[in-house]
Amino acid sequence: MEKDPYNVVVTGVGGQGNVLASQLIGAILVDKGLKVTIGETYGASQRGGSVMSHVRISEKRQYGPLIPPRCADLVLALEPSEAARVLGEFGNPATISVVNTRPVYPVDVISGDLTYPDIDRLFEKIKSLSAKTYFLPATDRALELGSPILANIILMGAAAGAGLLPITEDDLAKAITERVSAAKVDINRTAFRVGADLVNDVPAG
Amino acid sequence: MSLISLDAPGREILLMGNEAIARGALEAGISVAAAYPGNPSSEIIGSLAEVAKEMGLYVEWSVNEKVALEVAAAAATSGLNALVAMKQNGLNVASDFLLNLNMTGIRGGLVIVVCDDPAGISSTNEEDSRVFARLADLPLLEPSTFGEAKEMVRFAFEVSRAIENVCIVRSVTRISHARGNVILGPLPSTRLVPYFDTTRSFSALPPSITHPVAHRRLKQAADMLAESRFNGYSGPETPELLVIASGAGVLFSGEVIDTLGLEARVGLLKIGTTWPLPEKLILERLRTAEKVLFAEEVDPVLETNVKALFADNNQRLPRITFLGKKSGTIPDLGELSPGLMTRVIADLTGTAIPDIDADYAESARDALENFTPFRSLAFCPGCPHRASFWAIKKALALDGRNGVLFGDIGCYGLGFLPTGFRQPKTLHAMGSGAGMASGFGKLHDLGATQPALTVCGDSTFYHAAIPALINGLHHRSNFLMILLDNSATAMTGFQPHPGSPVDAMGDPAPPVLLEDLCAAMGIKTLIRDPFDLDDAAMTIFELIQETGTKVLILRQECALVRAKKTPRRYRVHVDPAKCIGEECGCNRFCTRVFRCPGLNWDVSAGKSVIDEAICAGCGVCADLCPRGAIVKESA
Amino acid sequence: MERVSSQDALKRAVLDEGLCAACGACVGGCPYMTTFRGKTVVLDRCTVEHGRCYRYCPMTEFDPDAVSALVFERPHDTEALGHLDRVISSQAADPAVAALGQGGGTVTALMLLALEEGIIDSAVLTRILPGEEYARGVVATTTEEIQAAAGSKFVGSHSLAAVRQALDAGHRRIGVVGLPCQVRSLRKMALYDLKQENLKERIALVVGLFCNWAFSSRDFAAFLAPRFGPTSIKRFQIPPPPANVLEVETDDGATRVPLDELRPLIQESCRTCPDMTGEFADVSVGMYEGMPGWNTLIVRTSLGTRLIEDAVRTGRLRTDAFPDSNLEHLKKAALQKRKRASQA
Repeated sequence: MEKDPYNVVVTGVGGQGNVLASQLIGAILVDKGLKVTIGETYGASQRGGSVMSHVRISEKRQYGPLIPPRCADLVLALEPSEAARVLGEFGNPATISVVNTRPVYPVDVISGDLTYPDIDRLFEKIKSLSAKTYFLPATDRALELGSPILANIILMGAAAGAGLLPITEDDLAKAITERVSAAKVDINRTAFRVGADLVNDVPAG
Repeated sequence: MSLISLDAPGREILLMGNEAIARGALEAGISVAAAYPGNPSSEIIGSLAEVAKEMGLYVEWSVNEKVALEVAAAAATSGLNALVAMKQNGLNVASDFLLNLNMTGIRGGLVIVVCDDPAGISSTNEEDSRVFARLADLPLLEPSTFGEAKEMVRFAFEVSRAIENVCIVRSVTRISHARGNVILGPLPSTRLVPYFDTTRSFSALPPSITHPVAHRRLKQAADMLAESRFNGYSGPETPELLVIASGAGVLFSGEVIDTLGLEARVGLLKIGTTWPLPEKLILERLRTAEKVLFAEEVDPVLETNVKALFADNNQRLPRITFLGKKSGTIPDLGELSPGLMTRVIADLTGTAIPDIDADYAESARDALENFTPFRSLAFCPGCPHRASFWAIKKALALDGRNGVLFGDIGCYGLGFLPTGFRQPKTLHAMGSGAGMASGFGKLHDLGATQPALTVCGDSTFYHAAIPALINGLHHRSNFLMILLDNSATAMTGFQPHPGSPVDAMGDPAPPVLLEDLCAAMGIKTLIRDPFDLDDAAMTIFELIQETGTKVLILRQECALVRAKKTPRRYRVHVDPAKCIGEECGCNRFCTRVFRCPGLNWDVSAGKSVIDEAICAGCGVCADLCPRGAIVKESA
Repeated sequence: MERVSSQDALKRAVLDEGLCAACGACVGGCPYMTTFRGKTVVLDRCTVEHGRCYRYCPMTEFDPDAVSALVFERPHDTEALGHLDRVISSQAADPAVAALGQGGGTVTALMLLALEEGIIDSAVLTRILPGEEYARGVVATTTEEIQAAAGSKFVGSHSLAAVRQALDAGHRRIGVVGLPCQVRSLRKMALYDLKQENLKERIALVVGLFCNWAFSSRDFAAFLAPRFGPTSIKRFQIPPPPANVLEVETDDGATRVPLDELRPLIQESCRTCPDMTGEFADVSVGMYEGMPGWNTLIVRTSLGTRLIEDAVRTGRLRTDAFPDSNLEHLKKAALQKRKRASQA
């Protein structure tokens, strides 16, 4: 890795599968001989709240489970307003963002007590806080593959395709076999490729 | 799929802290593991259960933490190594037994792993379990990394067997629910055979004899702990600031010292054996200290104990300024974080924090203020609890006597938020809702006119609510206990409980059914489907018109469990021609009041829409729509 | 600052004050409020600021001049019986119909005629359905359904909820029989018509019933249940003074309950109501004291006049003069209610 530690934040909303995504990234990189620490928030994570995983990658030492403020190098966001939340606290002018474009509305927005930011202005904000941004319709593509949960693997594939994470489709297949289920390998391979292809189709902003 | 039984000594893999703890127990040769689920501890027993058959263990999800400890104690008084895991609240439940077990000791090895939850990320309370070690005269270890968590558990069994008493390992959320590198050690090839030596007895009575034994055992543990490799110092011989840290505080402090370039000025004393303290090592460091900062989470345990040690030895020590929770330098609640430790250490050493571009900082602040709508917690789409609280809300409104719903612990604890229409008015400990309802139901004799109700999950019922229900029944208390039976211990990850047809290891188990238990007590017990909103509401209404203790089981499977097994029940969509949106006669009833995450409000169209990526297909909203605009079709 | 929704305002001004007349105007079609065993219940908070619940409630602000302008095309007549064309006595010509009602079956006869002549396409009436304990509004579209609703109920019944039902079902000319409070609500609906539903036309005929007070239906049911059982009651009658009793007709014959025992069951709202004769109806119908089998009939609007003329011409209704002495007595009673209301 060029930077040590390399700090990745995987963010989204409870139930979007970001815990699994960070776990797979970590498992693959530990197998490659790196020290990885992942800090996660559980418990309430299935219940509509913001969820963040801090993935800290180093060749030298086992870092603590939380990234210090303004120290994220890469943000993988399964939800756009969550990208803004993470960049607001952990972003810096060199942060690169890979962002799923589909909003998940908070219940307070659904109820009308709060408003969701204007989507175009939100994308502008994310861009302005990132050195480079990739916006991807990951959930839409995941739904085409049969399950919205695959958006997390599509995002991983995109990050890998953009050269932001040193992981390959075969690495993913191995980690899925070992940690999830051999039966899930094919669909995850497909999702990973979809992400890698997408990132080459969309211009980075 | 659990990797904790991987027989590959020397291989380095990514494990969750709780898995590392479980692996440590396997490497220590445990035979028995028991727990009641509670975050952040649940995956310890969960992962052991997965490998139980393969590793020849007995693993159970016990009915509660006290029983879990008793089950483990049976193994440990029979010469085996046994592990019990629990969250901080669980240790409270187990403490009555623990504070007798410590007096008798054991014959094998017994390690309690207690996972505290600083800041209450998945808890109702915040509590520092380390004080129990002192209360119980038992040794306590605190890991700061995943690898260390594994090693400490293995070591804790050595200590436990040596002193013939319990050893406690205290983890926290940031260890238990974090993941990192763990180097696998060898797994034992032999198994111990349980045998209860009947020539020995384990009686706490009389304390005049057993308490001194406990003290002697603790002293023996102190020597082993002091010799262990879990304490250590790094830094200059005479630091201008000495940080004494435990747990996550070690990692955060170390990183900050590194980042701020303070290695030559600030020392870090890592304490892994929190009780009893490694006195010699600490005194050695205090001799050259002027300013000491304590980096620990929740209560000032380390801080208080080190200060006591300082007081005992003050004639041989310099004047020292102690900074920590007592001085207000570190908050006396919640978690530590790299940001907090950076500010504190930079401030104490007069170091400048590298600053970020001002425009960027301003834009980031704007992002947090204007682009990040708060996400309050909500029941999952399709969650039966939403429907149950809806029915309760309606029944109480129709009744009109301002009934009081006493809450309890589980996912449905969220009911006090808008997602549960703020129905429960109390939230304390497991089973407390039933106990309070039992008490309130007797206040009718003293003039109370409000109906008393309580909600309780299936798992919580077995854990702690049965005695309260019996209490209410026997004392002719007027209350309705609503059992929210979603057939799972959902909050913590769907562990089986005594009502399940399988046990932790996947073997068939005779379910002890809620309705059978209640029937055996002679309580009027009805069963309804919460998704049939009107029927459920009217049943609740009718039951609270009656006197005496009643039980209503609202039975509907947890939406997350259901989603894993069966396809959606309904395809749901909104007919835009019928939806009247914000008009009088609707006023966004479905999204504004029912608030299911699967049901969105399309601002531009002024209509409700179903989000197909989120909707679980329960169909309840279709029954609520005043215009019949939400359509459910069998999927 | 907290915004006050219509529902909040209704709750504060009417429901929390115990002044709900149980007319049913606020509950039809609204998911936030419902009726339950005779009471209006708020289930959830609604935030709409210009909602129908407050605007159509008979107990909130009432502008008699605006309503008079709408119904009678003239300013409000403050005479004891309100604006009227004439007061006569009447009875249904068909003895079977006459026997159904409390007095002379006039209301039933008029509604049957109105439906037959197409003046209305549906009638919102008050009925205790078989097996039910509480009276409620029903939408009647047949002779049988209208006849089934005959007879006085003496309770607040939320029957205007059925007006919403009739509107949603697409009825274009709805006739409603209601108590004076309900007549007021119906006229407020037509006057304000917040959803522009053409309510002035669609609420085509309003027949008012004389009313001095009504019982709270929940309290009345609770009173009757232990004495009679819920289903055995066939009919209620209040014979003219000086009887001062309620006659309850059951399968086992008639039982007389002294009215004094029943007074505590009277709705609080009735004590503040100034309207005894349904002053804003097309026609108003009540008892004719001293003439069993006959009704007092007040004809108020041109529609009312036409309806009565048709009824007489087609032989549905027999009419007669209403003696001056009785008229004076009626006015006195109406003024007494007004006075009571002004002192409440």
